[in-house]
Amino acid sequence: MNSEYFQLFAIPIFAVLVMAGLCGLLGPFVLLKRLAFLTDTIAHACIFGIALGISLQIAPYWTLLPFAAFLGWILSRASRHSGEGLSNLTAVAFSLFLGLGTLILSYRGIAGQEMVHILFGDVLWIRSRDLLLLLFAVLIIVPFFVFKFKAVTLALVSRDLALTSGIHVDKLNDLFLVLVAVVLALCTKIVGVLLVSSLVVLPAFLASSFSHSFRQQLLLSISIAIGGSLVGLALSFSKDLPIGPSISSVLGTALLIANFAQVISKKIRSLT
Amino acid sequence: MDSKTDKLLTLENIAVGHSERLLFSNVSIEFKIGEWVAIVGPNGSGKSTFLKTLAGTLNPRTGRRTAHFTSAGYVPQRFIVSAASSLTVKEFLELKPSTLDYKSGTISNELIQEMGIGDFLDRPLRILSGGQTQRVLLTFACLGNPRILFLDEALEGIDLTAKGQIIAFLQRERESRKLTIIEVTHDLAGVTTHAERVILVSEGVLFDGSPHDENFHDCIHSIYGKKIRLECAPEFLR
Repeated sequence: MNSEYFQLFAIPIFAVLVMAGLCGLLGPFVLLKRLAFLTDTIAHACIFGIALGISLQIAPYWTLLPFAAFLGWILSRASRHSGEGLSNLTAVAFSLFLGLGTLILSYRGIAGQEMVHILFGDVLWIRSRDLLLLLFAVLIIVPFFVFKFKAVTLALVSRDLALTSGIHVDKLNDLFLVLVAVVLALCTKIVGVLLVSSLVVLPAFLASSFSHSFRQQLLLSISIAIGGSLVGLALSFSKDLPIGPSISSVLGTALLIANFAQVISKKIRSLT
Repeated sequence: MDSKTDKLLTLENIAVGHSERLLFSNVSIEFKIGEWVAIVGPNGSGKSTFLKTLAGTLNPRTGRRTAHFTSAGYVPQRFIVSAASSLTVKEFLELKPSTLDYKSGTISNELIQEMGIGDFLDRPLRILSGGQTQRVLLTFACLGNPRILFLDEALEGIDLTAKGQIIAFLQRERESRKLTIIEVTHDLAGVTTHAERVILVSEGVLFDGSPHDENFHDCIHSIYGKKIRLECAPEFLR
């Protein structure tokens, strides 16, 4: 394997699989808090963070990641203090930051193909620096969920139950949303908005149909995200299709087929 | 035990409510070890908000809350589990930290039997009926032998047999280890059978005393507009 081939294919493929595992892990926790829309919001709002970097003529990571952390923190605090549901606030953040980000990019003369690149990403542009950042995120996220599994899960199920059980639930919720936002921002910068949302939500939904416990759902979600990405990559390379949409389509189709098969099997069981 | 150490929870001059609406203000009240207190009142009178303030999940608008306990159990009025989560009953119960009921990594069989949840421990929470969910929440609240339970209509939706069994269990816990129970309920008949103290709220605390007090009956009459027979609970619930 020569270094050009490695740089062009091996790093992007490995990065996509790492990202798939990471998003597959986050998905069941995001769904547990009934925040499927959160991933879309953060991914789209990231356009503002990227636009800031482009405006200031610095590497977008320097503005994107702090902006994502701030967005996660402010959403968590605002939902707690305003009494407004987090899903309503994410809808506001979605419109506000997508609008502002697009305006800034438009002002800087970035449109057309470059906008498509930001929205849908291009896996083949992934470089070793992106991969290193992803691996760094894995080093933070995985221990957080392993060591804080019970407290985080209970805080996501019910703030009141967690609070009366002696858990510092508000700090934990802030930290959860900051970590999720930073990981999603990182993934959005690398592979675009579409693939990030798909990798978080679709595998977790699909896993919920076939799992008998939350731990099973977590393992299945990670496996489906990685498996779906491999199939999507294979489809993309064999038919010369864009990678992000290929993976999203594979996962979305799998979810539709699984739900359809479940409905049919229930009908058959009720008839026999 | 003197009256000073007998106190478990004290509220001083508190105001309760949300930013848009102050439900009641300048309330000072205390709860003693081993009491079973029922909070009653019409819809929208602030019972649940009051209970949340007592439980510490909602800060009072003004005033001071002093709790002399570290472990509490709470059953919320509304509990919604994501339909896309496979979290099972057993997994949910295991989320409670430092539960003294744990023996070799499992949950106390006695508690499971008392609450009648043994048959659906491995089922996902999302597919449970309302009554089954309430029983699971009660089990969760009782795990770890908390000193105080805050129950928000926790016995609603539970069938009569299981309800009687759970009330009997809570009474035993109260007698054996001085468990304090503060419950919000609409079951006025039930109040007279198992609560020794009742707090009637409607734009403030209207009554605080024994459910057998004639004044309580008068207050109920003035709030609900009609005479209600309070002594008609089934025998096995008494």
